[in-house]
Amino acid sequence: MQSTGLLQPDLRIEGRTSFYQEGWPAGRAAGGRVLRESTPVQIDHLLRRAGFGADRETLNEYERLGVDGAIQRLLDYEKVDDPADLIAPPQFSLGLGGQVRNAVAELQQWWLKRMAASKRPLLEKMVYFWHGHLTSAISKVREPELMRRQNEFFRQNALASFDTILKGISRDGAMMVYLDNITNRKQHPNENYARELMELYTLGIGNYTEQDVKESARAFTGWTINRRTGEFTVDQRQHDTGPKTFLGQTGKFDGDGVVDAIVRHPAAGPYLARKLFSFLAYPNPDPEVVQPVSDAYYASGFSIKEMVRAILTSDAFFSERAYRARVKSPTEFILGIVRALGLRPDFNGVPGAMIGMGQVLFEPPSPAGWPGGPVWINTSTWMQRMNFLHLLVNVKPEDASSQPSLLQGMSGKPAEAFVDTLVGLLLDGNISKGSREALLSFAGGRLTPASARDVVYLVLGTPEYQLA
Amino acid sequence: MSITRRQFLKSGMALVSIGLAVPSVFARAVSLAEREGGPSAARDLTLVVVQMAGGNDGLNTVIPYADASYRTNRPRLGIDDEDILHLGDRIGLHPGLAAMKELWDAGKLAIIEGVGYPGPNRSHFRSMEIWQNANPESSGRIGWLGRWFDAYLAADPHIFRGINIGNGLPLSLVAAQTSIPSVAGLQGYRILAPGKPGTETERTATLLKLYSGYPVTSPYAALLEATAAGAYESSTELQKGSQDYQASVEYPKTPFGTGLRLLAQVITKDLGARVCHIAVGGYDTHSNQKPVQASNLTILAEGLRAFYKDLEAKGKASDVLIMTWSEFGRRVQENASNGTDHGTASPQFILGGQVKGGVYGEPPSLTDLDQGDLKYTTDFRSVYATILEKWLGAVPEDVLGGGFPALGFI
Repeated sequence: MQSTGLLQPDLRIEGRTSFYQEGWPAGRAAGGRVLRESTPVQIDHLLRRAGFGADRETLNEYERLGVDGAIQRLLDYEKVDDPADLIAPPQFSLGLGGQVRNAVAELQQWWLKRMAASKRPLLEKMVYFWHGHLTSAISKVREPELMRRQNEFFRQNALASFDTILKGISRDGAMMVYLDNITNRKQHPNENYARELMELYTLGIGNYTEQDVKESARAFTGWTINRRTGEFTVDQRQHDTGPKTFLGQTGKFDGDGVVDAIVRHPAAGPYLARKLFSFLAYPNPDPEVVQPVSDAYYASGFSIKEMVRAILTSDAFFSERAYRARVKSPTEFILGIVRALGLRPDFNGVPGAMIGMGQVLFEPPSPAGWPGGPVWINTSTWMQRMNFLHLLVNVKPEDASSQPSLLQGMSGKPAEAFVDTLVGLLLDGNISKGSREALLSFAGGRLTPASARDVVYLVLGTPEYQLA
Repeated sequence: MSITRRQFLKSGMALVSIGLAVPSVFARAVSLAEREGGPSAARDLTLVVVQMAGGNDGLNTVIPYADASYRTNRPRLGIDDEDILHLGDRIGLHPGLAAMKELWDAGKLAIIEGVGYPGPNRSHFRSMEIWQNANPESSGRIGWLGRWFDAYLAADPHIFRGINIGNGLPLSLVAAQTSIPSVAGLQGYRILAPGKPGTETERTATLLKLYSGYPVTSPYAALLEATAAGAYESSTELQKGSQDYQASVEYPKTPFGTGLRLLAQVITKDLGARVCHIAVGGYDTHSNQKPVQASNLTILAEGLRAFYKDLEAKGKASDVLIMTWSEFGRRVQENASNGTDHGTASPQFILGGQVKGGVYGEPPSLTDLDQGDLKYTTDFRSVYATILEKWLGAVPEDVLGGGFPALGFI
């Protein structure tokens, strides 16, 4: 890009952080030392990042395994039976037309239930990662069945090799509709998929040329789906069999040839490592902490499982800088509550509430997924989080299954013990003295049914609880 | 002792007395207030930014129908001559923009042709970022309007000095020192609490205390504290006057129309709004472009006409300037999917009571292309510079970092 001879740095007032500073203020991460010093806090942190949080019983169970054992259990999830598998996936036919809207709600509720019930926390967390990374949106795809298949594909390959995942997603019906590969034809290549494949999914801007985009689009020509079954097929008449020069190599590549070149590219490991590290540990990592994750990628033949292992077992993952360094997405916020409090809701109203919080599952705003981080928090989305909590604690008696059970029988009990139990379960027992005092002063000496509800609201509404 | 964010926001000048470094632009803001402003640099002028997200096909928006290359490049997607709304003998509007044509006929619509920037980027994300932070060489997280807020409005006490319609704050409005409210809809924009609506309960007061007392040394402290306080203040203020708003026209029943109606309310209630932002999407027409773009342009035009008429009836049309933008135009030659791929330059619309209607900039050539794409003729920062100087009362260099020639549309 040519120079335009401009630029001034972003305005900063010395000594203060910008609103959009991610994670800890510079030099202040020492406040997160609680993570380095306490095993229970490490387990809480691990299950928040490599999962969606857990109830007291589960936290205790993982604590007994120790940190290394807990990581092992999370990674080898196929050894754990998953009750989430008993939740029947919805069945959709292709060509739903006007019924798409209801179908999407059904699809969202199914996945939310899975995430809530799963005993394989890392598996569902990685499905969620891939959904936000190799993303597709129902508004363009228009076929809930294809979106469901994509979600199942991510589940079957959540920790597989990147090579397998990319070759699979390049054949995925939802993806091919979403990024227009179904209209990518020999005479007029459509560059949409080829471009995003490199720009967003694998290499990042600056590591390929416009010519690479054009050549790889040719390699994917004719890759399409059978309109009746939604299955992958190659339309040989539309496939450009000629030689292509891509990332410096010349050959008669098809889509798999393009993926083969991409996964071996020196930019692929660092790019994915950085993305995964930011998702699991903390934003804007230094190259030194990303490097071992990238090394694991190349050394293991592009294994996602080995990359995740490298992150979860790193010092950086349990460092001060990682503690509460991520803003919870609406999915993480809601599932964190559901799982910690052991709720079994039907999730009927949840997709609606999530719209207001800025996240619609199966409908990311762009091929780049959800930008996340501080972007999750603005006046509107914050208010919707608080209002969700209001509805949660004021649930009608007939919806008792979604009523937090820890509220039952609390009337007349000492408020202080209740506050400390909640802060222990939901905030690692770690809030400022001022916040604890404000909660105690609100709760009074002994609980009433109303004050118990409001204390739950307040603890889940704290600034600390918005962070993972 | 440290001062809290809110105290800081409430008294912008306090930072001088506690000895923090003051960026030179603050001093500028003070001197500028004393400077003799142009006729339109009054305090209460409002800019409304309308984002056409996805990359709008400029060639089928402001159509160079008299150029033979238009037909050659658009054999299937070209708009038929008899459907084009002619503006003079060279260009015309897409038929979906009939409502905008009325505003053109009234002399309230300016069109700037061929707007882009050097080294065009064909990525949605990167190009949106470039348009929004107005800085092609950095991916800074502060927007161009955010820099204007930081430099000129840090001490403005109005919570609605800026407002975004939607769930997410666009980069252009991200400031280092201010949190601009994002309002998705009036209905849900309040903090639910036990007891009567509108009366602040002890629970809400405690909640706010948890945020104002959140240590400034904690992660995301500035963001969380200011957001909670901003949500409380802005919702209280918005709900106060919301029940009795009577629009003077019927707004289209689209999310865009509903959002504009809310903006009209904020503007006419004098809540201090200086910059409003609203987005309308669906312009990424890689396939099936004809019906999709027609529908999107109609939503845009009918919404803006209703908005303008409403403001006009309320005596506010001359206090509001509306600017559209899209991250890029599209490839000159149509693709094989009845669509168009990512391109470069495209036209911008400027609308308002003080706008000098007409066509500005130079038409981009349809034959002298850069990799199949138009070469821009006007840098978008010239449009920003014009608005900053003539509408927002700023020294454009403070915000844009360099000088760009102003245009004549105001």
